[in-house]
Amino acid sequence: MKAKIVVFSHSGDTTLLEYDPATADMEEVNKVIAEYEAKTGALPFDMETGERIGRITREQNEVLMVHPIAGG
Amino acid sequence: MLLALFAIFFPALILWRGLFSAFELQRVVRRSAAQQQRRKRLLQNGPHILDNCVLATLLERQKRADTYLRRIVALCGAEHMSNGYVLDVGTARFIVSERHVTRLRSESERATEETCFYSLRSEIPRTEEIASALIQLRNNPALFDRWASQCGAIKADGKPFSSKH
Repeated sequence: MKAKIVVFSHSGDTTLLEYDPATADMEEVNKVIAEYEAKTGALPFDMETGERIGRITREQNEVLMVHPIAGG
Repeated sequence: MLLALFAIFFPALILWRGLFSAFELQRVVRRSAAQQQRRKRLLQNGPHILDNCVLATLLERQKRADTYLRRIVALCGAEHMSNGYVLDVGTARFIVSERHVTRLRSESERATEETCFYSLRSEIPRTEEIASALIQLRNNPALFDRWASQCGAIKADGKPFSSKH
């Protein structure tokens, strides 16, 4: 089974990364996420629990990167 | 004898060439007319075909966005009401609608506070902006105060974000 990291985009959603959680190098997955966060400010949320997550583990099957919100 | 044969054969050859050319010309004219007809049809229907493609893409995008909103509403335990999505976090009640949030401190308290919000990703569908606000408020209800203070973009953990990094 594949796990994926998605982000809301102009086309509804875009898959940033897709990997096999059983075999993937999770350090590498978290590195990609950290780089994306540094660039966009988006933080990961587990789409099974709705909780914000610090690090992505093999347990998460779908992670949504949620972008910052500004008040106005 | 040879002269008689030539007198018959030569006009026949000229006649055959003439007829052949006429048939060929007719065939070219017909083919060109058919091509023109096809071109005309394409020009007439082209914009409709394009419109349909754009419409299908927009509908698909909206469908995906709506699906995410429904999933996040269910995950957060929110409820869709006539005035927006109602989300209870602790003693606070948020009513999230398009780029607008209302907070009621408690059910007994009538005073409400309001603020507007927008996602830094301005191109995302509005339903996904609502979904983003719901999932962030559910995890960190104090974000409402940060949005209301209008101090720029705020990450889900409450920290400010500047795209100039």
